[in-house]
Amino acid sequence: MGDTYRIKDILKNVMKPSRYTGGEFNEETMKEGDVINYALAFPDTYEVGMSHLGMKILYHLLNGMPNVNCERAFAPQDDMAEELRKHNMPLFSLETYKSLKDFDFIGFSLQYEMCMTTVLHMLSLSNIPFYREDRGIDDPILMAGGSVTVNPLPYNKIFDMFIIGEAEEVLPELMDLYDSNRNKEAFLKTAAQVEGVYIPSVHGEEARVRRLYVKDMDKAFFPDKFIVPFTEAIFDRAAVEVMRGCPRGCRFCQAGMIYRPVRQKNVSTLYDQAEKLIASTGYNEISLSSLSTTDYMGCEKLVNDLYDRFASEKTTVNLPSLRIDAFSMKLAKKLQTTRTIALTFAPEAGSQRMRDVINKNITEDEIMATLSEAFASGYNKIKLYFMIGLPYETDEDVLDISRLLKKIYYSYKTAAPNGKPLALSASVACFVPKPHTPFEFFPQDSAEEFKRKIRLLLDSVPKKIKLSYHEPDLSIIEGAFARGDERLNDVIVSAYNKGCIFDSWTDHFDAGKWGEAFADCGLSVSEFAERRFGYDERLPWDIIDIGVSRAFLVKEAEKAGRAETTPNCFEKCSACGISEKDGKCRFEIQD
Amino acid sequence: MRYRINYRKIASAIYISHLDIQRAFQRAFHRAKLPLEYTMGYNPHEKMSYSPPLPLFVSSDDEYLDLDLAGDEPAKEIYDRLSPQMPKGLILNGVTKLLPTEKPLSKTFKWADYEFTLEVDDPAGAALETKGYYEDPEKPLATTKRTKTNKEALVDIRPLTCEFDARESDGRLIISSFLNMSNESLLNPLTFLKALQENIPALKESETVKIHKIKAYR
Repeated sequence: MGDTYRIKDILKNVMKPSRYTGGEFNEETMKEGDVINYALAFPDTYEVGMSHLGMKILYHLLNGMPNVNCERAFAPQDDMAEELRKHNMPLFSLETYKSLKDFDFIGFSLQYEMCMTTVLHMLSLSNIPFYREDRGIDDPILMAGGSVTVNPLPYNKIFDMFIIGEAEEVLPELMDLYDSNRNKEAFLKTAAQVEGVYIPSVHGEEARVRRLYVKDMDKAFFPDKFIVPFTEAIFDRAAVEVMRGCPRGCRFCQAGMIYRPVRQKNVSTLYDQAEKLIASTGYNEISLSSLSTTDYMGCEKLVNDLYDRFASEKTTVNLPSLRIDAFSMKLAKKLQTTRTIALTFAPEAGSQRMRDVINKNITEDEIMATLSEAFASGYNKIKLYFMIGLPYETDEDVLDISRLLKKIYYSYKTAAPNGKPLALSASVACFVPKPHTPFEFFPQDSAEEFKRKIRLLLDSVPKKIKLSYHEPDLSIIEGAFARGDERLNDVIVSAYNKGCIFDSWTDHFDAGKWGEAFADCGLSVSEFAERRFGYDERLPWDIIDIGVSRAFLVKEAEKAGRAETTPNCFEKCSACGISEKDGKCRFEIQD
Repeated sequence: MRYRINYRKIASAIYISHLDIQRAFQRAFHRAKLPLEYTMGYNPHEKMSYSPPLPLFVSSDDEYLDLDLAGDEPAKEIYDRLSPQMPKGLILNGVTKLLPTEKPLSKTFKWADYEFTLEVDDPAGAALETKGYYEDPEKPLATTKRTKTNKEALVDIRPLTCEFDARESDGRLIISSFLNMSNESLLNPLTFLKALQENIPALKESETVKIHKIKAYR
């Protein structure tokens, strides 16, 4: 137990103190005795980390083991960090107020590249050295997992080990392995033999670590309870995971490649899981989570079953990701309550050619038909997501985003002549080429080029359509890290030492400091972000075998150049390489 | 049927804001599968009402909440179902059925018995000085507070308090007092403490260790 009297003292000086106290309903009880202490760390605020489904799965999975106590740790807000420093107190876990330094393991969940300075922030507050070489045998073992680790090199001087892929497949085995001798060095040597584990101090440059994934989602561990935060998390609701992976194969999308194959749960499994979660949490909203829920084969039956079960209890069912098609609209209308009149879609590009380049597989006619139906059914808040800076993009393609927005805006009056005024907004992201996608070979636009394209949009989109865009200076640094290599470890440390933290929050991000950090290491952002790789070149992330073959990625990149589309996995197998190793993908599900 | 829930807010629950307490109760009601009644309208919500909100960092042994339920079940049954569903630090004292003639919570309680634990250099001396100061009606005991319209207003705490006492215990200064809890002239315990600390010389440098509400009186 930490110094609870002093903790009470500092909690009086911070905003929303219940984020730091733990004790929420369904928090796990810590076991007595000499168990392994595992800190599950999320390098962002409590509200963000507590919304992450992966954290919930691992937390309850590890605490279900007889020999492991798993506690949570999040990045404190500025006021709390200041109080900790002022009182010379370390960052502590939520369950037993223990310093992170006193854990056997700290497992960081890396969900976006720009979280790394916040990782260092948490280490600094815990008095743990940043570089693994500077840490001793008594320091915790630093683990990293999450989608960022599909290219682990930019972080391999910081973490002791990486779990590539879905950690629930291997964490219990690793815990038992550690329990057998409880020696850091010996453990790292043995763990390097385990599939899906990358250990920089053991594996050489020629390593090839294979990604792990759950083979049977119906049998995979899923918690029957979630911790219920006192203060509102970003997603404060029950969630069931209907499938992993996405059948679509959009060429820019990393998740669509690195979570292959599509693995769906049976409808009855999901119904049971939803019912248990609602009963154990008291939430009145259940979200059907996945990369593309309306593609889940049992979607309609599941939605109907859950709706019939929960409507009378005022518990709503929520579809977080909708495609712009008739089927999605039908489900959205079924679930429409008086509360929800807003819809969000992602056409991604304005021109048909560009949507074919990225393999979005949606036509303008489909977009217009779906929106027209949405307008007619009373929806008057529409948000659309687009990207600029995609490979093969021309200025005409960028301007086509404004053309499409105007067309949608003016179609509203016809579709809903008596409707309330339409609130149409568009969010424009700067494309970041990601490893293990067909676009991994392509250079990213420079910040200036992004800004010029944003200008084109700002000048052509009418003021009544709300246009927002991602910060290009942030996107190019994300781009540098996404396809970077081990030289970037020092850049992160340098940026942190200059005061960078919470970089994914635009109010904290400081492009100037990041530029200096690259320069101090004798590097530039553009040499990483704007690099073009040859189709046969060795890539920094080739040490990871994601399961999708190089031949497939090259074929897809070439098809993009010809604006040719590829059918989705459910329609026709495009031989991406997954089935070569693990046998033919099976997509059938049961009710 | 309307039920009155009496609960304690202690330990780490003192860091939970009033709004978050409301949500915590709503979730507990759902988990307990109570037959909730909902308000009509666009945004249906559970029919419930609270005693005046307790400020953050203040603990209490005597908080109240009224809840409407469909049907008429014994209060003990409601207590047994709800009790295991409460988060740490929010502990049920009891559940009672309300007669239709019962006044709403906002009009039920007149006084709240509070205890303040402070750290001062000389607790025994400070206790004497504090008591003497309070009992001398000539000495000022007013402070400013923020009103609902976010303006500053001057409030004299003497007419809003009674049963005042100050004593030394375990090397600390304990101040106890009844504070007005009626809707019209509710005295916030933090305002009370501020008035003492601003006006009484011996309390100027005091550090607040604990504020605790012992009981609410009709």
